[in-house]
Amino acid sequence: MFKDLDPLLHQQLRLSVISLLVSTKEAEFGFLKDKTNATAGNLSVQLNKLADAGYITIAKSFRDNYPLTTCKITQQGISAFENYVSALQDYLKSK
Amino acid sequence: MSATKEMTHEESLRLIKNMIQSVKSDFEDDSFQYLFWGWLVFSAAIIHYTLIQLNYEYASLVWLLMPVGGIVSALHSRKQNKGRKAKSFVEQFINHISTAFLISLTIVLFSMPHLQESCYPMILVLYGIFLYTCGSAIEFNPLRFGGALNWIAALIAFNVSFEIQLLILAGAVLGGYIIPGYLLKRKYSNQQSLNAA
Repeated sequence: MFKDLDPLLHQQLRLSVISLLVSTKEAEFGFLKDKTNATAGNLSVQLNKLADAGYITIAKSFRDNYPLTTCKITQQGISAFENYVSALQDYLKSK
Repeated sequence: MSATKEMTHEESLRLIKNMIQSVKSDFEDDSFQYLFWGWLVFSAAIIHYTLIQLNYEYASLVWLLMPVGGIVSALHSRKQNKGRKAKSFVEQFINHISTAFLISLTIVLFSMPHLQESCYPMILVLYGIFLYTCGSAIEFNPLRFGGALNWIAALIAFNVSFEIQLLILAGAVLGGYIIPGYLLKRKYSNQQSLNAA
């Protein structure tokens, strides 16, 4: 019996964001936008979905008078990512 | 990137791998600090040795260059950190190691009157720890070898005169900081070319 894939992570942009955040301590909105080639609006919506699920935290601040959005993965987000990868591996092993 | 596109399991794994790899290959060029401190300490050690040979009374004043170097180095770090859009765990680890190294170095420098001729060998031991740990964190062997070279230099330096210690110090920073610094710079340039291709 295969574990169900987390629907929140089984989506291209959200999975990209979580993969990037797993590899960094924290990342700015601009960094995530550059790496994923997503539009600002789309990225913003997906980040909020991840934040609502408790997978990431979003901090808003200012740098040189410009707004700065910084994202960080939570422990819950790390666990969800690990479970997602483990489920993928189980599926691929069975093939 | 689409928000609704369905992915196969293989595509998901490939995407995760690509994203993690893109962060890994996106490392910053940190060669400045190694080259800056390498050349500064190398020059100071050689000038100090030369002035001693010329019987100049205030030869050790050349080390006053170090606090000036500290200010330049701190300003450069500040500028570089400001331009960073993401902080990696490796960078955070290196920052902690650098702090620990600077505190230890300060203690050794303030204890110079007690340590006397053991001061430079002690500094070389600290260089060894710093270089080996940083080299391991970024998986860069020239820095690891540089660390080992500084430990060997420290062992030798404990058994020679002060003048010879200065030459050993110059050789140790050449092999521990300057050469790995240039190799790190080249690695970064190669990585940039690959990313651009």
